[in-house]
Amino acid sequence: MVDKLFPPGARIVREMFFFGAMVGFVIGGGLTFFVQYWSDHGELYDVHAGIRVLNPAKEMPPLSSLVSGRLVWFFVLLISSIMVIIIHYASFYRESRSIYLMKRIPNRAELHVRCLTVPLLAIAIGLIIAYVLFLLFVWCYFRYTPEPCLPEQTVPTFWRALL
Amino acid sequence: MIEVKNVSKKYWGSVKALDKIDLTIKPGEIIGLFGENGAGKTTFMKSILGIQSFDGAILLDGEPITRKNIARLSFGTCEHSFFPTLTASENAEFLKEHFPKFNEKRFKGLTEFFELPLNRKLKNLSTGQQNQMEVILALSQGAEYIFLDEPFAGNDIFNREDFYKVLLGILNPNETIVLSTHLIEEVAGFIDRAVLIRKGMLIDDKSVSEIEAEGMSLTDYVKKTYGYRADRVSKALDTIIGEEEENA
Repeated sequence: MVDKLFPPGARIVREMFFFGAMVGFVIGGGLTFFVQYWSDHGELYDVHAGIRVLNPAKEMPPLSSLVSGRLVWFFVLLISSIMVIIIHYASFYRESRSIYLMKRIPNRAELHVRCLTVPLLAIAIGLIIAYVLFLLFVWCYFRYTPEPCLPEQTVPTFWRALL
Repeated sequence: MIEVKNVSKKYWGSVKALDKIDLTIKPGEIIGLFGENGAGKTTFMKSILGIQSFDGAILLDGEPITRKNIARLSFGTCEHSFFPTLTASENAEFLKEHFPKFNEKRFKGLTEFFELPLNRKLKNLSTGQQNQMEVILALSQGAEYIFLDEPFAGNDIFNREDFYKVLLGILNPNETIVLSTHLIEEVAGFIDRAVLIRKGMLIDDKSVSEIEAEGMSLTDYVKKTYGYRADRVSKALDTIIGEEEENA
């Protein structure tokens, strides 16, 4: 059944693995935010006689700098999906002109379904994951950063509006 | 019946590939489409099949050819329109899925006759076998109008003759073949009608019986209609040899 979502003769397992890996990288890349965040969060505290005490003079790095680059894998997924779409369409011109057959079959949508579905689905999944991760970043930043340590330039209302 | 009315095609930046073609293709006919390379034979077929755009009108039983009635037409081309990374069986499955009238009995019979492997990827077959498979798939689609564009380019003569014989034996009375080829002599006994295209224009359309009644062979008729100059080669040779002798 899944083979109907790929050009005939496509290496389905390889392509599924590729997109799976890409989605994994989007998630993995996003999760590095939390590693950095908790590291920076720990820096806000001083230890006195074994007790962690918040130092209000310290400032958390701006959210934008923490988020920066965390979702780069989504853009890699986006670009590679567009390339896969091109490769899918080009496959109907490779080693034969099976495009003639695709243009002759009664189902007009078949060609586009086979070329577009999986890459667009990958982009959609990547986009949803990226958005959810972004919301988590914002929520985590404002939920766990002590208010005295929030940088002044941050515009909380903007980020909160997204939540 | 297919009616081609005032069909023209111009590729971007080039001369007209088709120029006001009018033609009627009746059910059950076997038509030979002749013309030099670049005459417009392939463009003509692709226009009928909806593979490319054109100006004018092409009607199938009075209706424009759309996705609704396209299954009544099939196409076999020397460029090949099968999926090369699929096996013959998988290609047949694909056609069966999209063309409900797919003739499995014919497909099996022809692949057995030509001893074609069903479970090898088509890209791994010889060019001759690929051509055979292309034609077999076109014949098995269950179409009433079968367009074959230089289908046997690369096949040996025995193979081609077998194919013509088999074709004549298996065709139903309502099946129509439009065959574009340069192998005029070979198809002389196979076709009912000869259509000649030159520089995108239809220059003649005659039944084989009319040609024979004029006491001409199909080859002579095509040469005459095309204005082929038999003395062209000898004149050229005289010039070339004469020049060489002068230089010596």
